[in-house]
Amino acid sequence: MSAPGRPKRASSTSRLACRSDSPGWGRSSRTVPSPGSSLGEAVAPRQGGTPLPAPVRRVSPWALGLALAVLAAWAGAAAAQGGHPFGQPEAAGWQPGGWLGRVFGQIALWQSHFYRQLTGAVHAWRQDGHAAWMLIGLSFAYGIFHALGPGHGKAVISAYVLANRQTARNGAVLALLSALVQALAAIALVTVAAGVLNLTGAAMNRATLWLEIGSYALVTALGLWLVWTRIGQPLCAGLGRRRAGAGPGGAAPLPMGFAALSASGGNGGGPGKGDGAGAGGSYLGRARLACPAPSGGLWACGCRQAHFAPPALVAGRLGAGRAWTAVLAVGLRPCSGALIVLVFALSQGLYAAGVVSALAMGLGTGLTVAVLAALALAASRAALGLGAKAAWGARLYRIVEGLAALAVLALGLALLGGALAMAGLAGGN
Amino acid sequence: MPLRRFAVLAFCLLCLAPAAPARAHPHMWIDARARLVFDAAGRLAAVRQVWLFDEMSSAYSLQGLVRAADGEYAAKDLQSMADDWVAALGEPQSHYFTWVERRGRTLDFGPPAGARVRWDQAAGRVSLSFELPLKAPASPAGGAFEVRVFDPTYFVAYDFTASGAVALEAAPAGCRAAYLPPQPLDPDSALRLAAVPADAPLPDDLQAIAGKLSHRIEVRCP
Repeated sequence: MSAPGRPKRASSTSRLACRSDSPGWGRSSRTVPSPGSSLGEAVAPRQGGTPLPAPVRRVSPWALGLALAVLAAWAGAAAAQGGHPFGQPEAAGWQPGGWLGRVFGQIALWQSHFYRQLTGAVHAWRQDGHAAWMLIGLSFAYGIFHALGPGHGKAVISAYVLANRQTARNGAVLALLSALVQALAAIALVTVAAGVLNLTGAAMNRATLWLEIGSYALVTALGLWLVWTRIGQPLCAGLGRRRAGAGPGGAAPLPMGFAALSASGGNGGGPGKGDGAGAGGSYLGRARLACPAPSGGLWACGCRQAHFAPPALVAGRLGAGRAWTAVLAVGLRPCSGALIVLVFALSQGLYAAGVVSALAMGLGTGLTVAVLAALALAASRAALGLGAKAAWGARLYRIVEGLAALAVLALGLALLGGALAMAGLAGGN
Repeated sequence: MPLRRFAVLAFCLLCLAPAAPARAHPHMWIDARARLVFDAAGRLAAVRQVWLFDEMSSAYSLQGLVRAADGEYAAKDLQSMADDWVAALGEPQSHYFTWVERRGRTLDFGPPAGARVRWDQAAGRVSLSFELPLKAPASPAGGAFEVRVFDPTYFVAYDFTASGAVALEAAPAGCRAAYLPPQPLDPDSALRLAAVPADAPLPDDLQAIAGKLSHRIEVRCP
């Protein structure tokens, strides 16, 4: 597993990226001062809006991710429940219970309603090219309701956007991109496996399972990274800070490491680029250099990485590497509905209908996920609005952010464990 | 903290919180027929089913098989498909998606027989027929039978609503079969079901609730 971020900048830049909104940080007893370190002057004047170097991290969290994934595989294999005789059902992750459960039941009905009409729509297209619009419309509607139902896509995108303080615009871009990738994955799989190699449906189910494992491994990796940056590092930093005592002018130490967090909480998650950049500016205005030379090791976390990337960094642009991880995590596993429609269209000698249908499904799915991600953002911003007035409001936001990160990790581990268990069982047969 | 904001936040957390295992949605629709076959001694001996797949999943399952110019498939290809399916259905977690119960106990099946796949070219649909003999034929004197058909993963949606979809064969006089469609799951039970680990036994009351999620055929004899 390679780190898909934007890594490997020169190490001097990486040191420059270290900063803190709390002057006391650098005194963490975990860090080792390097001779002649006077980077403080070099860094402090940076202004918001300037693209900052990406936080450089070591491979360790990813290696840790791999190790955890292997563990999950073992755990999952122990509880193997086995494959499905006819297909490769989508692991659905979780869905809310209660009244929301009833809503989901209704959504599933609508979804099935549209899906079952796709057969007729493909036939109609074969009779009359104008009926293409019916297929497109039905596929689009199916996609919309499909994404409202259970599935890992919306959970991953929403949580990623929340935990990363992305803007609604970026969330929408991520959602649409991942849905497009998912549609293209289905088209590519069926084109190659069925169209070119003429593999059986069972062989395609196995291929789907492997794509699924890749997808869930990425979710897990993303979750690990989010948990590390949103929870691990802040906690670690908070501990270091407590050990060193409050720095000059610093706030009194608070439990759970959130003291360090609350200071910048009110700035994050601005709705737009301008907002984000402004917030970033004030954030950086308070920044002090807190970073001596790299002391090495995963747990020397007081430094080396931006603990809370200012919105200018995360929201201004998508951060190609990690964003693609999220997009691939969602999009790599093709949707079963799209696969079946594509194979059916192929069997009818009308492959174009399948391709158009899969793309229309993807558009519907992407729009729904975009709306859901925006809702999640709006909700967290409402909470964030308090941050300006009360420090604990900001802390609450940090908790939301941390929970979102944990949710991605938990979802990834659960899905990966299940998929690997299924693969183990399929291989054993 | 203003109530509104709290509500928004709570909603947000609710969406992220794991609460219940999701029910996947079906991608396969089967028009099913079931015959409950009795032996000469008047005991329930076998469940004979025909599952007619929808057009799309029929195409998916035939993918990769050689199709002759007349649109037909080789008999041996269809037979190996039938054998593969029945073998896969026989895995413990699938249990042929069929359970025969009496007084809450599941009666064991012997090896399945007569597995066959037919291809209806005009309808563009595939059907699978197979028979599940009971390991030990059961006399109706021991109480009513309940035959359940159900895919726990919800990948397959069964439909038994066609007329004549459920019937008795060679049954003693006076025996009746009643078809009971699946009941929707109430949210509280869904949450409780979700809390039970997959490999743990269900408490009795939950088992009764879970049983109602499937298509049920009640067989009563006087």
